[in-house]
Amino acid sequence: MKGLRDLLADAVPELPEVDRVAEVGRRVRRRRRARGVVATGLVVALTAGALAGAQLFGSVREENPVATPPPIVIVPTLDCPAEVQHKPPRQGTEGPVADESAVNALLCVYGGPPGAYYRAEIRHDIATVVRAMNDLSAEYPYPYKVDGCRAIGLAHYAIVFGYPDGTRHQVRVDLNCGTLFRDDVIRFGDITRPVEVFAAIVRADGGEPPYLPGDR
Amino acid sequence: MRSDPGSPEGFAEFVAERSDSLVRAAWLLTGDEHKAEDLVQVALVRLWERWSKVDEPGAYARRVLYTTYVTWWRRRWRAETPSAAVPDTVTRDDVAGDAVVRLAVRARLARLSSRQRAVVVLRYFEDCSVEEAARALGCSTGSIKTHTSRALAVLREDAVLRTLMEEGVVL
Repeated sequence: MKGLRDLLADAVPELPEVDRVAEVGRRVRRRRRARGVVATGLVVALTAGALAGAQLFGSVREENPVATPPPIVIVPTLDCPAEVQHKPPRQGTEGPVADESAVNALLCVYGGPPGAYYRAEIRHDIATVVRAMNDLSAEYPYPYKVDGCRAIGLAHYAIVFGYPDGTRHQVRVDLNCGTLFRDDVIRFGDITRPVEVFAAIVRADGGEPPYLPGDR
Repeated sequence: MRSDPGSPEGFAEFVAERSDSLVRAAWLLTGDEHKAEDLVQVALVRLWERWSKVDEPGAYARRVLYTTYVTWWRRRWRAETPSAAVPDTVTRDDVAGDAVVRLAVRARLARLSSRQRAVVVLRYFEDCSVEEAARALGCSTGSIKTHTSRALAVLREDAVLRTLMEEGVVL
């Protein structure tokens, strides 16, 4: 007797032989080169900026003009905000919630006692989290004005992004009010999606972030 | 340690032994040979980077494969559309034809959500338990059961597959 497994196995066509170890090697080397280019670009930009600044203030040191600066990669230290913030739904200001150039990101999960009870930092694939945020709708979704936040007691999330220039941005996911926001930039709709994307990256790295409401 | 894959103890052997089944599972997820290869490569590269720290490489590669598919593939490949080429009614002769069944299975898989499709492949192609599937997808066992039930309902809607059920195929 055939089972679903046989049907699924039969549905797969003949697939070509591929040297996957070699392909992994190619991809690993490509990623390293890309990282090297980014690091080199950062060093060049910082060096150019430092030289331009020094010339501007007339303090260029000429005794060692060819000295190579050490590679500098700024990865800001990130902390979870102590308090949750609420943002009732209203039309927000224009602009993206976050920028894809972030170099690290920290997920903070709140609920129950004060302060974040879970936190996890990632340093790769951050752009996918940012894209999930920026893809959310900025349109006020209700046909009438909503003053309060009705869903009291649901979890609250904050994602803190760190940027190469040392700046940090806090994005809040407020399930009480149904809003995702950074300052006055507000998004609506599937606001837990960026948290799901973040959590999937953490899980793929071996972490165990808590499940989101509705995923139980 | 050399910098090219194949040098850490066992990685090349792991790829040789497991990548075929990974790529077949990836094909069932994506329905496309190139996307399947790409998905498997993402999982293998991630595995290679953590090879010395991972206790169960098979489980780790599977987790990366499925979570990557569910979280990223939906957006990147959502242009995929279900095939309308499958007949609504079938005869016994048609059912006997592997091609018809193959098309029916593929068309029904394409109608599933990414998470339902992942659950079907995990549970019924990879023979994972509910708990193993939950670990691979990073969700609860209740979520797996719900997706399984809904996915099977979608599969059973197909005339070809329904006929197979009547013929005794377990579905």
